[in-house]
Amino acid sequence: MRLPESQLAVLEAANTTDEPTVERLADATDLKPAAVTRAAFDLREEGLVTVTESTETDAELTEEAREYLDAGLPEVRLYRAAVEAGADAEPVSMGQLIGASGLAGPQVDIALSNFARKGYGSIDAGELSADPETDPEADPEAAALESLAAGEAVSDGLLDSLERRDLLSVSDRTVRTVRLTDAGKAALDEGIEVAQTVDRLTPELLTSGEWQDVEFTEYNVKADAPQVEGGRKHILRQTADRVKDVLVGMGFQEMEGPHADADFWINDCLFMPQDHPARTHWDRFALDVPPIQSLPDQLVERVESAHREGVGDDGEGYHSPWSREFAEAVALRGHTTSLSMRYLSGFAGANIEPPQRYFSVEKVYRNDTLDPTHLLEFFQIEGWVLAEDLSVRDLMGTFEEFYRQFGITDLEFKPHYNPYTEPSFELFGTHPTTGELVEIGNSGMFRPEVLEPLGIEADVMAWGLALERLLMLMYGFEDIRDVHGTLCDLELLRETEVVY
Amino acid sequence: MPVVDIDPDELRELTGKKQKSDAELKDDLFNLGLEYEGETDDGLMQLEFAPDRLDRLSVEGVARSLRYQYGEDRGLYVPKTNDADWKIQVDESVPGGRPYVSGAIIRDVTLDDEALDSLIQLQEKLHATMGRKRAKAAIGIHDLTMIKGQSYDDEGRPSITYKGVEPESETFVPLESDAEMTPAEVLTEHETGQKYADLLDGFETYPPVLRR
Repeated sequence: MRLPESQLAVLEAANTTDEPTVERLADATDLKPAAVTRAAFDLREEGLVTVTESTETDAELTEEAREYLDAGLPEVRLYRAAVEAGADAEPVSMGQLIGASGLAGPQVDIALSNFARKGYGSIDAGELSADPETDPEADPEAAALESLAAGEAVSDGLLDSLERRDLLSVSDRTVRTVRLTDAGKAALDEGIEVAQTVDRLTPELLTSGEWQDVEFTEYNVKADAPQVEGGRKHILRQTADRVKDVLVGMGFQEMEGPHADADFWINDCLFMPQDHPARTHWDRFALDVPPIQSLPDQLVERVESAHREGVGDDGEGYHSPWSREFAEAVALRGHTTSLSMRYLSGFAGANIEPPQRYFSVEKVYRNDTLDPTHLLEFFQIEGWVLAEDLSVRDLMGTFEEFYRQFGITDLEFKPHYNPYTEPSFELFGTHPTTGELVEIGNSGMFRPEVLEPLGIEADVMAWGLALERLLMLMYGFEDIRDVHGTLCDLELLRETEVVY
Repeated sequence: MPVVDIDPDELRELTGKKQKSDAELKDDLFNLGLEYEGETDDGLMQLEFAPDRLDRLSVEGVARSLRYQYGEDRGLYVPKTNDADWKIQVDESVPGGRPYVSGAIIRDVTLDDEALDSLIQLQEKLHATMGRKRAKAAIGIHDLTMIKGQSYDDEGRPSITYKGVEPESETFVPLESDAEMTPAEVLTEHETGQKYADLLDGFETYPPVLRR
């Protein structure tokens, strides 16, 4: 049998009784651990050795822990200072004790919280009393630090509590051990020849013509290789781009506008009464910034009149209070319909001669309670079509066509009410794994009370769809927090198949 | 959005559709804009619907919607009314923040427990929704036989009075209490009074409906 030199060295260093680690073999063979590992795996392929993997935990003292090794744990120092000041008999003011203990900065809080946690005494109304029964000199955490510094093992419970205090950085590492098999031993007994193989082709080999005679190392194409993660687009952004492509393909133009806007554009234009629950401070992110006073006066007048008296011969309006001050106040937009109002009013400079189609895929902000289907911010797919003689059938058809591009063909429509559309309906789709109906959007035909002040005589059908809900239906996510926000798991995003 | 708790059996009873399964009912309700949200501990269906249809805040209202949907009922339901034989006397002293009052007497009513629960649910949900937690409107329901009308006008019609009273004026016994309290005491000591005390912030006089 012929083997490359490194493999032969590892094979000779291994034996059938003991199981040396890769590191020990590296010492014995004078090879790098990575080379030993590679050789061991190659030998395993030949059945000459077995390789066993296990995970070991390394605990390393942090810089903070090293300070405490010298100076003592802050809570112990506090206790010593307290006993010295007589706090084991009568409460002593905390300021005095902290000065005496020499603690400063963040260590004061660390001392106080651990003092209380370990029951060294109590703190009440700025005074501290030390429990004379406890013995901080025998503090198990301090002892564990000493042991770890001396290279001794400590219990898992103590490791946990030290890690929680950031005194240890704990990391896992894979340990591989190698054992000679009977076949390996037999091969050694028979004698193994060193194969002088060449693992890279050099200019010298080429020019000298030596390459014709040497033996090349075989590539092991089945060997483990480190996984390389390239940067890639977040699936949420990817889906947003796809939505844009689809809508542009359906003849829509994109709108843009501010995330923080006057309530006038967010709500008043939409015939949302100023005392509507969604406009109260519970649901709205109001911003403490100067009001937006540059609203178009004539439009403001017409909108106010629609709120107060309604529009048309039989219009009623709300007869409710309406103030320009509230209309000018600034808040984070709860929907991107604020953009639609800016465009439909002509304020954004868009052409509003029918027919027109506009959309946006942008962030909106709502003071909702967080749960698997609600976040404080999410992406809304806003859109509207301005044309003569539109009806809800056109609207339903538009949705059928739009969602079919994403493989969603089981839409359901539920009649709904919005202050700004009539008729209105919500859209639902069936979740691919749970089978539950998921609300995916809201839509309708803008009311005369919205359109007349804007000066629009044709019909407008409009919608707000949630991008994240579309994602849930496409990918089967059950929790919106899986794809959006700080709890997002990178691994899941890396491994999620691209649906296009 | 408002949510109403409905006993599906009662719904079957009121619509005359005893053979409808829960799943069929949910389907019919969805198409009407009532979405099934879950079940209460007592097995009632929790149905969410849009706030323009507050007539659906009771099982009777939901049943009426369904009967229309099934084509078994037609037209707008308008209850029969006649000239009032009682009168609400509104006094000048009513504080400006609560200027309006209205009332109705409904006769020939037999309330069993279910109907009473439904009525109370309707009242409470109206308070919470259209009444904006009683800031815009509050409703009282009373047994007429327990109200002593005070002869007021020339025709001798019985009446109740709506007027402003001083916070520290005559005492009365509020619901769910057995102590006499002044209006101010109700706001500080009675549970419901405390809950809604904010509504009367800055009022110099309080607006009770008095039955005598």
